[in-house]
Amino acid sequence: MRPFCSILAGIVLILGLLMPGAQAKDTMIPVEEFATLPILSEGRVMPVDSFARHYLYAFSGEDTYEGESAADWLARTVFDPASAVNDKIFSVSQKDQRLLGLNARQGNRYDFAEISAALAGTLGDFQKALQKQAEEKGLGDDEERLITWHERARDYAQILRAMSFAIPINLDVPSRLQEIGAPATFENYAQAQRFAKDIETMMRGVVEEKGADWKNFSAEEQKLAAISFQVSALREGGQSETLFKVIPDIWSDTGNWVSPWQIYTGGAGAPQTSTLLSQWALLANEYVRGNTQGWTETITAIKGELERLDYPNYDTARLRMEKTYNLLQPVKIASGLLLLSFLAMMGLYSLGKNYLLRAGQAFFVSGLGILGLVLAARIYIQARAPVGTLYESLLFVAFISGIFALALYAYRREAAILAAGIFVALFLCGLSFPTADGPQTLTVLEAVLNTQFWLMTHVICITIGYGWCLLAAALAHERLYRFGFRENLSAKALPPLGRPLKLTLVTALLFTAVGTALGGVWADQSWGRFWGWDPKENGALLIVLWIAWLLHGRLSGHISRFFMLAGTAALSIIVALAWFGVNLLNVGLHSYGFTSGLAGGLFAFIFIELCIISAFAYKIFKA
Amino acid sequence: MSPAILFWALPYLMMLLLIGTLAQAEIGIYEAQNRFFSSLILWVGPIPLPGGLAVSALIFLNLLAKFIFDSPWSLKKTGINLTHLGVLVLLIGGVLSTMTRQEAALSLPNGEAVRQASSYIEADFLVRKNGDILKTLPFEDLSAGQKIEGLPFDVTMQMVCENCDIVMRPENESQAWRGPSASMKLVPSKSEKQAEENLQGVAFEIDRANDADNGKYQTFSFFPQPPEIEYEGDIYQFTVERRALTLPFEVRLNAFAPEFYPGTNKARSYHSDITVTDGNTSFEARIAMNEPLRFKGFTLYQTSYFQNADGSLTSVLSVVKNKGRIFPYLATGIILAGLLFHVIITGMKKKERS
Repeated sequence: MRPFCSILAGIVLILGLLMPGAQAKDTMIPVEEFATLPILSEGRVMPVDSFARHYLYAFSGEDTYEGESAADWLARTVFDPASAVNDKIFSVSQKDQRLLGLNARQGNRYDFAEISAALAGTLGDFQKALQKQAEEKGLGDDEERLITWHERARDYAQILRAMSFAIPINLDVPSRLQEIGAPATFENYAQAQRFAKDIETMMRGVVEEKGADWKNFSAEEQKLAAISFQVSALREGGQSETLFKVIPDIWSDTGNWVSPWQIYTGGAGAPQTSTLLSQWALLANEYVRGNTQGWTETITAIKGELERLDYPNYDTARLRMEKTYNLLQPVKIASGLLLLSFLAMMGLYSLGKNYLLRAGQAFFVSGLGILGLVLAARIYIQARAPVGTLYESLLFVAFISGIFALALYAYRREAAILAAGIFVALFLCGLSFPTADGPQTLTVLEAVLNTQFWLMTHVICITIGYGWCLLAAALAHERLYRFGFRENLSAKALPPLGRPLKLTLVTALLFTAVGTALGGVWADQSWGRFWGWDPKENGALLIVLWIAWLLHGRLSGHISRFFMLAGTAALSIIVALAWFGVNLLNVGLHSYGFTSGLAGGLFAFIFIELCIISAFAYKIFKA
Repeated sequence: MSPAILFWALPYLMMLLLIGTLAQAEIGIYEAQNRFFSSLILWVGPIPLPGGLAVSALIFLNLLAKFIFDSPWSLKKTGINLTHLGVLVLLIGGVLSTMTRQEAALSLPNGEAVRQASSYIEADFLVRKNGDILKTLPFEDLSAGQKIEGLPFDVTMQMVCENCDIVMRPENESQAWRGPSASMKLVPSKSEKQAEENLQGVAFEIDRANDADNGKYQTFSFFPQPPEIEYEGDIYQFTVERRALTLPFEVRLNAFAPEFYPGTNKARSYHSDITVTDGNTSFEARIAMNEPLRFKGFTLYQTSYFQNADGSLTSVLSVVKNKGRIFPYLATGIILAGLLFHVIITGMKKKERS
């Protein structure tokens, strides 16, 4: 990383963009098709729409900008940076304002120039933090945030200049250059760079003859100087542009893609992709001209050219599916339906009206249906089991526990089972939002997880186990509430555990025990040992031991009916510790799953659960 | 045999598991494993408590007694009995693995044939005479004051540290220390979180050799200038080295290729193409993430790689020999069958009643 270069290039770019000739027309260009074009980012080919959402969210914390869609914002930023460079795109928290030395402002929004100027004052600390990072020393919170802000500024600068080779510069060409074949006007860098060597030679001659002060230049020489400055400034800025990878790298055997600037400055081009490069330049031109028809035709032409190249690592249908997935945001829809079903069930408990049960069922089934489609779409887009990340596992367990609740409900018509399933599915869906870390949740996997077989066996099995455990815990909560608060039963008067709850608990034991053992088998395959006392392994074992203890304790009479219910309710805490808690430790072979920022939520959950269970205990023992 | 034993042993084991897991963030997995999970006694200050091994042994014996003396094989109990059997097999496998398992790292530079791997953690104190190993002493058996037998001069251990910090030796302490030890001092330190990063070291004193060589020395793992003395025309060298595991076959790396997700430094997979030579026979194989090679009781796994100074890559394989490795597979199958059967029986009870 070269911080000085990044910031200097940004300043050069701003100056360049503010020069006459770089102004674009104010236009509304349709971006639906543009949003489905392929781009390589984060290790995978994604639609431009996902790229745009990812970066817009990184800068602004939102996936739209002042009413513009992410794709609209991206198109405007890359094709018409002059109109975007003053956007107050950066959302800076008050904590970060203090870190960067920014003056507090209502709305906490800043533009690129303000952020660049603030970051320039932090270069010393930034370099120290980078040094620590390179030496693998632990970084403080401030250092991590400082690095993040420098990365954001670098990324934004790269997006601003992604297509700067094609944006209009409209510079008058001196007659000396026209005599060797140059046009009367250079419309963009792509056109001027063909004469770059001639410009450099002529400019050197002028400086040798008249010195560096442009006031001594003739009008023709001033034109030459302007071109020379503009070409060098654009080239300087473009040299580090590696973000906007929209051209397949034909020479790569790893499925790499390159940015247009990598072709101009890094020699990554190929005869096979020259048409594509020209088409992207044309697309920029059409955008700036506001030519909707030309824009649409060029996108069609780009797609046709990509199809002709038949590059192996992307699939048009998957890109379209991903764009639709982004647009619909189906997890929100599913969560909404689950919330409605939860409210209906609450109504049922309060009012006892049967139509509320039917409404709850309908919303629940619809919510689960959408969640099923979410998982199916993710399987299709990523071509793997949808349990590779914490976010995905939450959605999967929400779905699977809902399905189990429906199956149990079909087996034994008890509204409590439905209520428990609805609550678990809704809770997990809700929890998926803070763990998503932005709108881009489709990601590539760590090397060790990159195996279909073990994802399909161990991970699916253990997460199914989590689902059963949470369902059992929710059912136990419902029973404790009913016995304690509605039926006012004392501890001695509590009925037996009940078949549905016992079956749920035993099934939870089946999946968690087998899932844990399968994890050991996977570890034996990958790391050469069945059991290594890794936190993740220990967490899974803790669940198994907890259930085994409850079942054996009840069987032997050591655990009372109340304690059996309370212990089953507390299974939610054990699962939370095993699922999330161990990720906080950041040790062991599973430390790739390390997630920061969960600790507060986890401890709050445990505290609330303990309070709820204690309240049940108080009510039942007092009765 | 008593249900009460299990009722009290299980929560104690869970508590050990929880505390031992949390402790890993502070002391690392290896140390936590030794202190909490693999120990017979857990010392909490001066108070001795049962360690993980003791509690597991108690659970095993209780379960074994239950399985032998109190497990009628009726249809209703079949699932439970099978599950108990699976747990017993798992625990037996665990003990066998702990007793017989050997693990080492095999570094394979491109094109080179290698048959010697070195342990990740365990080390030996070696004395070489003219380049040949004369004495090998397991590091864990060394202690301060110990005399090394079988040498023509006296060697007495002064200090042994499982993990050492290297600090400057004060000038007023440098007398009697020879070579680099005159300015460098090994100081015992707590174990690293990643135990393989520990720097094992010793300080020892040589006496009754030549006057110029008599004195105090230090050596430690990966020390580029281990002490050497000349005595009666022979060169003696003192080193601390990771314990060697010699394979009964040779492994040659033909090619190593880390694969990255395009445009990133994030690894997608690694694989090593190797040739295994065993006597007069040889064959080619590929070892990749999640795809190990098993041969002659050894299992070779792709672990990592590193870049050499000349830019070439050295592949690092894990070599494991474990006579108990089949037990977890058997146990998993038995537990799956047992619990599945039990779930079905539990579900059917409802139907029978209804």
